[in-house]
Amino acid sequence: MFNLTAIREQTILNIRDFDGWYGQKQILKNINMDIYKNKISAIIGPSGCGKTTLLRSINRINDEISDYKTSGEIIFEGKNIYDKDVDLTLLRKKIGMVFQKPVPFPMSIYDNVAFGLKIHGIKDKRKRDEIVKLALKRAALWDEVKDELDKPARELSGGQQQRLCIARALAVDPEILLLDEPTSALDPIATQKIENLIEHLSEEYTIIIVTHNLAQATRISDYMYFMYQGELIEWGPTRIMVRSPKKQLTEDYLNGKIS
Amino acid sequence: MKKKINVDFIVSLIFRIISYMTFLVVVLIIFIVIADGVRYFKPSFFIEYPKKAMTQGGIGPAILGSLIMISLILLFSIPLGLLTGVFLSEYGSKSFIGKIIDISVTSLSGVPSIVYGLFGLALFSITLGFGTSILSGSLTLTIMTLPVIASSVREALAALPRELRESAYALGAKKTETIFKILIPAGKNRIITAILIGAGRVIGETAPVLLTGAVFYSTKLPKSLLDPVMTLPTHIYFITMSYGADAQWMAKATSSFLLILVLVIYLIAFQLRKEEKNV
Amino acid sequence: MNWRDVKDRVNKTIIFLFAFVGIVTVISLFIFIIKESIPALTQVGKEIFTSIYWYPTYDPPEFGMLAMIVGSLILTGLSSLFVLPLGYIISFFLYNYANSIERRVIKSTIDLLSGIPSVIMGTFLFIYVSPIIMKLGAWSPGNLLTASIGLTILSLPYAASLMEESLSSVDQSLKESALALGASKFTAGFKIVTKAASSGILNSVILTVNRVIGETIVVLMVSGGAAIIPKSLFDPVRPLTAAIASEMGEVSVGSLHYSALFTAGLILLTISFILTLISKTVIGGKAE
Ligand SMILES: Nc1ncnc2c1ncn2[C@@H]1O[C@H](COP(=O)(O)OP(=O)(O)O)[C@@H](O)[C@H]1O
Ligand SMILES: [Mg+2]
Repeated sequence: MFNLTAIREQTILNIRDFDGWYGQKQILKNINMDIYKNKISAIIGPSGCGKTTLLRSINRINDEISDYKTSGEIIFEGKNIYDKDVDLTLLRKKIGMVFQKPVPFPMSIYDNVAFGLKIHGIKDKRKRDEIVKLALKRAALWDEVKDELDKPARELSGGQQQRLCIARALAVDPEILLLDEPTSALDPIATQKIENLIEHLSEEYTIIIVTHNLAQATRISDYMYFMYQGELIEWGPTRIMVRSPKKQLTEDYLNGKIS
Repeated sequence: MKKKINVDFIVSLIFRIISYMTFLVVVLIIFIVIADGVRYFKPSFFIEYPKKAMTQGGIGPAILGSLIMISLILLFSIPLGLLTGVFLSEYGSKSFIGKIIDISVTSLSGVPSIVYGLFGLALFSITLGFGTSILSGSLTLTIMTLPVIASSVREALAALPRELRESAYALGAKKTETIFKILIPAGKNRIITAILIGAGRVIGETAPVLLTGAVFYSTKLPKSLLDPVMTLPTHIYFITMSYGADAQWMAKATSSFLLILVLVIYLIAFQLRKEEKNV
Repeated sequence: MNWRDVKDRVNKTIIFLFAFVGIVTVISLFIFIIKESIPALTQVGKEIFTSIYWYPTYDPPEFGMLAMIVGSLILTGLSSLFVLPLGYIISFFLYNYANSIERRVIKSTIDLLSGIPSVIMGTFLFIYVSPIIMKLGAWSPGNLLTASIGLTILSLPYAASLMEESLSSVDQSLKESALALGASKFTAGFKIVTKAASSGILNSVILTVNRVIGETIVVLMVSGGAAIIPKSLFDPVRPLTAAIASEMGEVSVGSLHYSALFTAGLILLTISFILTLISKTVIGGKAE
């Protein structure tokens, strides 16, 4: 049934037979899923089920963890991102990421956003200014900081810092944005702002968000992916999945019987 | 029940008294050294040469010598200690080479200063032919400072949140770009603290300099890095050990000045460390 | 490869090269000290370690270091006897009983103490303390007691702060559960926390002892300098470090005396290397 809906969407990412291990311990078990362009996809599931690991596999940031190994494929732009000849720098430029804890770099607000531009060789100052402004606007932070771009970024509030991290990721013009529980360290008002922002952003970007906040996932996502103990139990359009889950486990989770 | 309360009462009393007394002794030493020397301070003391068998004049050349030495040492040891610390923290003490470097740096931190003196003498002064000179002395002290700076840099970087590194990688930054543009600036305060503490320690270092770089008394300033030099600590040592009561004032005054210098460096370092904790 | 990759590689190479200096230094440290010791080791032989007669400038010279080795050991033993309990008491006080102001003040004072150059401590003892000790019965301004006082003060910051660190690193709940069982703070701290921190404390002991053995200037200034085996606290001693520092200026390079002083250095280097390795590998601690 959901396949019919899916056909009309354009996929941007296909995950095929994907496994992940930390050392001997298998964390991700045969994951198969598609991500649709310009949609908000929410990965949900109880804590420890492997959501973060899966998300971090998509831009290969998990390669930084030395004993992490994978098998299977993640196809992006017609190519397995785990192929040997993939340029990690370029991959990560195209697939941006925002972490759970807001981590501003030890520099000014402006320089935070411009950091990615500088390393990717955009030398023209005027162009940089323009992109920084645009990124801050898209992250709904511009109005709050436009007069103090030179202020150290850590002086911002937690919610502002998280939006700065989003702006920083947007500045390098990614196609996909990965968000790992971006609101879990924030108060309700800041959370609300970020949720609104995410919904806006999906017009231009593909969003994949990990959350264990089911209400949040239901509110903002177009597609939902439910994971349990390393397996992808079920996925589909959010509205359909919330109303009529096919698997008992999903139903139990949605009803709060598993957490 | 009652007995137990008494144990704590008695022990805490005794331990408190001992701790307070130690504290007082330390404060007293610092106070005596500084106060008993400060009274000889006058402008000429800081500029002039020592005169009349150390009974008059000042410590100008020793101050200059110490400044030249410390500048050279920092020039050499900052890049060396910084990059070694970066290596240990970022490229892993897990690999074989990493483990060896780790053990090497740790071993260096325990080597007695006089042994560094012997090493500097054999390597820099004799084998490389630098003689008893500023260069030999500075290189010797550089090696002594390496483990101090390297291990603090390593700790400073290791204390940074993992997300900081990963945020940079997630933007497509390369490893060394992340290290130099993000991690080192983020650990800046702690790194500067380490450098200051290293500097404070090395500026008072005497034994290795006696063997490799010090001249007892010189009537002219060093013209090149291959000339020997007077330094504050060696000057204090020579006066105390080789001169009579008439010269003692100069030992006191020089000690006072050196101690003030070191304490100022340390206080700046502690201030920075405190700010770091408050962030 | 683009420009950024090249730069990344170059930077990485530089980091590796610089880090390599540490290895090269340790190796050449050993090579040079051993190389310069060889003449004395081969020409004087085991007498170095068994004879107490150190007359390097006589004809024929004698190079027995036993008195100096014993001098180093006695000085280290005596100073450790002072500094280790004192360091433990202070760290225990800071950990268990001190209020936050006491903690802050005493800790920063001890930190400051670690900055006092040993030459200043030597001068201080020489000018202000030696006269008092001489009144008490010492016959030379330098003696075992004065030197031990100096070593105790100089190494106290190591002992106290390292021990305090090891006590504090023990899980707070351990102490609390002991207290909850009705133990006194003293019992909880002494029997439970200290035991849990024992490897850290042992590590502090090793690092402090290592520091004491290698200290040079203070003992050079106030240990008296006679190469005899001391029989009382007021006798002078001459430890290895002092012998090297005071005699190196007068020897001719390449002479047997020169080589014998490197042998003294080799003994010190070996001791410190072993102590550091024990601290690093067996206990898994880190150097200061
Ligand atoms: N670096 C790591 N090494 C070993 N195991 C890990 C590591 N990180 C996470 N894990 C384990 O992997 C499992 C999945 O973790 P994670 O992906 O963070 O779950 P989630 O984000 O759904 O809470 C957990 O059991 C966790 O303990
Ligand atoms: Mg997670």
